Amino acid sequence: MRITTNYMTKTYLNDLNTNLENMTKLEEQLSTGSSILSSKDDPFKAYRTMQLSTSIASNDRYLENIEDAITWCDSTSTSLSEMISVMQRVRELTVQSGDGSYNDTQLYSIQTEIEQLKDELMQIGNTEIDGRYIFGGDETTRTPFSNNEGFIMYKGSDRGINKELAQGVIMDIAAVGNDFSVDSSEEGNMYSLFANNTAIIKGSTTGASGYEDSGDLTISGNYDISKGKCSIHMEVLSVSNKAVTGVKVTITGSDGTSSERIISPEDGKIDLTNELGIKISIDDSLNNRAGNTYDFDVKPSIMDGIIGLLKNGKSAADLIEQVDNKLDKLLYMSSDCGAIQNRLDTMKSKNKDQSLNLKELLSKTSEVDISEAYIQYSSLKNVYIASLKTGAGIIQQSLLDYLD
Amino acid sequence: MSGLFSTLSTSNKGLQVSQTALQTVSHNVSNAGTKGYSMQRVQVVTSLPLSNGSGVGQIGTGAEVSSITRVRDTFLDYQIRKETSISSQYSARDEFLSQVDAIFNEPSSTGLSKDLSSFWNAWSQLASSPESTTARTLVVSNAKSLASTLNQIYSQLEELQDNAGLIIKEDDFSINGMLEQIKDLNAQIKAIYISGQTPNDLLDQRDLLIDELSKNIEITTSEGEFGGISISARVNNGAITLVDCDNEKYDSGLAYIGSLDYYIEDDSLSERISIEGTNSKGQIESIKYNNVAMDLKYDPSGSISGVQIDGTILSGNGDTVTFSDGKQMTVQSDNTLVVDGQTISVDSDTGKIKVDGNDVDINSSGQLIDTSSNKILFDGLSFKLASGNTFSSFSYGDEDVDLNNGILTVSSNGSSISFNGSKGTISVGGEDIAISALDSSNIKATATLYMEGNTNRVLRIENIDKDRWDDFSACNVIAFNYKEYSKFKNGKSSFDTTIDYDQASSFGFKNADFISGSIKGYRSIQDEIESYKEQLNNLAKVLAISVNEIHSGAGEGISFFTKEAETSSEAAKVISVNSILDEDPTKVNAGTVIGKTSGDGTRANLIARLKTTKIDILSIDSAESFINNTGLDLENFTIKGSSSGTTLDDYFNSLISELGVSYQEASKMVDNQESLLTQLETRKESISGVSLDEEMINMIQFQKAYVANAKVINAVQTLLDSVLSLV
Repeated sequence: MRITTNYMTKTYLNDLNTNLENMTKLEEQLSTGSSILSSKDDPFKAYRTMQLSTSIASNDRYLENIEDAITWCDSTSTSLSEMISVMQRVRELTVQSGDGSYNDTQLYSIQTEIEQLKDELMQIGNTEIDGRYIFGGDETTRTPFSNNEGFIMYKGSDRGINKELAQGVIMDIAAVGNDFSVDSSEEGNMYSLFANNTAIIKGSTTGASGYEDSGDLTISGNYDISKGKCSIHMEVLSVSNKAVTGVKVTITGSDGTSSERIISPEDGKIDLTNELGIKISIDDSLNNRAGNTYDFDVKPSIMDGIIGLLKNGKSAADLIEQVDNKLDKLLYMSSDCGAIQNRLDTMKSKNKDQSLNLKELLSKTSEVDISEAYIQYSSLKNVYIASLKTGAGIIQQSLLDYLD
Repeated sequence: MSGLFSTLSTSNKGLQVSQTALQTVSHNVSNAGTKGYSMQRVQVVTSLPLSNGSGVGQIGTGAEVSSITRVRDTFLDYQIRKETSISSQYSARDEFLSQVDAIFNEPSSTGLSKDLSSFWNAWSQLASSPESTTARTLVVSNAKSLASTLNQIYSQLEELQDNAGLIIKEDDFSINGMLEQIKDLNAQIKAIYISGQTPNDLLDQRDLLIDELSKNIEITTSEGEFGGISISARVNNGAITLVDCDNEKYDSGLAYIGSLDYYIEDDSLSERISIEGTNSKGQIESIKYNNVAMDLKYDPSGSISGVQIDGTILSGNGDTVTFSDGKQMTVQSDNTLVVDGQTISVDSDTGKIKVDGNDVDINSSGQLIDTSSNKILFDGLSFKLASGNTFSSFSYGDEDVDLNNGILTVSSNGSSISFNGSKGTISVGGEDIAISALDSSNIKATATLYMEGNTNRVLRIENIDKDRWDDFSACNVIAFNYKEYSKFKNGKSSFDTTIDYDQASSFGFKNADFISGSIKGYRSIQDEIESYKEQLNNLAKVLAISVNEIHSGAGEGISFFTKEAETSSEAAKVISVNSILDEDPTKVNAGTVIGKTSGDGTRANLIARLKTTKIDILSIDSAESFINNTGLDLENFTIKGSSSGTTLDDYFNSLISELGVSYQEASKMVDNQESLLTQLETRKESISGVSLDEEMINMIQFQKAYVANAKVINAVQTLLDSVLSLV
């Protein structure tokens, strides 16, 4: 083979450049710590890297959801225990009231204590974290329990709070106030614990439905507990200037008898003091229309029942069974909450394991093996230096150097 | 018997041979570093001997130079040119793909995949704290960043595509220049060959030009008479002759067609109707008449389904108008109007207007007023009644809409354009226009744009590289533009309504689908970028459709992204967050009930779950198809997902791995071709290159020969002296 002057320089420059290219590539990998700097380096690994980064990000997001849920459940659990101890005290007092030797003063002191305990129950029911009420179901932004001149209403929702804690795992983490205070579900158990539910009234209206669109209901006064459970059906007859001006009220008692009356609200209140001891008001609303209907139940509450009996100087011992029922319910909810907490703890550690696995996988996929890369780099450096020296040695020489 | 003078003359020849050889050595040494130079060698032969009568045979008369030749392997030239074409094709791809790669910047912590993942996580966070305003603001800001990343990537890709176009244009220019030079060199070379000599250095120059040319396009050469060379470009279905050495008048070159402009020239119309561009499917996108632009909408089968004029869309059977803010109005056969889901009717006896069967009032500005609430219904909508109490014309905002026997006419800025939905025709200024799409798949330009009832119509294509055009006599103009394959210009002035490829080629047009070379590389890049843009559009479109459908509760509430992104053919370019939400993030819907903020994050959660929902992205073009494909159930807030599709994240990831594979291939090809070329070029260097050592040895050899010849002359002189001294 004939070797010419340009042949040598061309080949030499080419090889030198290849050396430099290899070194630059390794140098980039070493300085970034990543072996996939561009999708061309390894399209499949680049794809995996992107997938893994996304999975890690969403896993981190799930961890935050889990931790949020844990705080929520911790707080729920504490509140439920507080409620249980309040109810245990109520039970003690109720048992005491059955002691025939108690005189009126003693009964009165029991009555006042129970009144306090009723308020305390309501306060616990209104516990909040970060401005979110924990017992209002998914109505976290409005106070679930309110006391209107003695009548305690639950204005939360009957739906729980769903949180996505892992991909496809949606868990209801809420203890809903509706469950312990109102007991709308328990047929045969006439009594609610301390509040009546009006928030979940299903109103059928023309063009609108429920409290959401039509006027909000508020009930005040002291419900006549001797009436037992009553179902109330109201139909709006006339509306003027957003306010309800006429309404037909049908009250169906627990024995099935019903009475019907047409009332014009005074000061916006539908006065049922004579029938039930309460007043109902419908807020002014754009959606108040003639033909709107409201259906809801009113029940005596245990706390009011006990207070009422004691007021009349009677023993409240008959209601112990009711108290026990509620206590059981609370205990059940508390253990349910505990179960959720356990599950959350498991999920948290599982999430962390998963995160660790994903990160390890990501590191294996895209991170550079520093020691290996460095050794390669060193050997490339040696090759580069050697080639420089050789080039300098050979290219300078020519026959010209030896001609006179 | 030869005389002393004869010996003197032989030595003289020897001196001349040595001198010529030394001159060539010096030429070689001077050009040792010249690009394209091939080493030259002096061919020395013995001169004709003298026949001697004395019987001792022939007497030699010395040496003479027969020729000076280039040392060159033409097969190697052929190989190098072929591989250069391939190499520069992939270099062009590599160069642009590295820019595409930089635009996407994946995998990284700043790319679109990161934005997409933050967007989903923001929804998940909102689902976890649905009552939080901060979580809503985060959703909006993450969505804004996602949308602007999409916009940015898209416009950068567009820019890159245009840059590739510009480079092709410049390459065309330099190719035409090189072709001119080759033609000139052909003429000079021929002249010298005819005189019986070999123009080595001119041949070197021509070879160098051909080498350069092969970077841009793959060519084949064939030798003609007297050293001339003909050059053809290799294209997919044959070859296009660029230089014909045996026909001096043959003139051909490349022309870049940036955009084509069709218009109808008609004496009966005072205005011209022009076609303003086509989409990637070759369908006409927009027509301009009297400075009013109409955008055409196509259904999947390719027929025109609607016309958009100044933001107002006429569609359906000529009975639906969609106004610029998305409000829809449908005229039904029973002479009732449906606007926003509410039915407006006229009592034919009394002429009274009813909405949903209830009487309404009309105020002085033609607005409908709800009698009970005194509220304006359909703000901005007003209409007139025709005799017989039927609706005759409507206006909404600045746009007037007329209805006449199922033909809707929109008047805006003094021009009126009508759309007959049942016939699918559009009429402008009272004349019907029929439009059929360009079909680029079989390279037949079937664009017919005509005015019914008129015969005097001309379709003209303008904006071609005209200067160059006029220079060509035997035209071989080659159209380049990724969107313009199927469009051609005729050589002189104008041609008839319909042209097809065969006709166009008879005018000298050829679509240059080169086999390889840098132009092929740039063109393939334009196509490839187009496909990435397409994928981004699909991504943005499905993102907008899916998130909007869930967020708005099937249109009950406000949409999350602008509605435009759901229908636009450039969704990635136009996608943005609904400005209402940008101004007030608290309007983001998270719960079951639209417009209500509570602890219920069901809706946000469903949107967050879109992240893992499989969707057949290519089959989605509306909310309806999305629901069909994924089984979205907004009653129970569930989504099943398609069994065969991919998630949006994965769709994008696949785009990146597709880019990666293509970029990797280009890079590897560049490396491979480079090493192959280096090998070939070093071989060429080994054959044609100048070796200084060799030249030095030659120099010494010829120097010594020269001296030896001189010595012989010296000897002859001595002999002559002694002869003369006898006198």
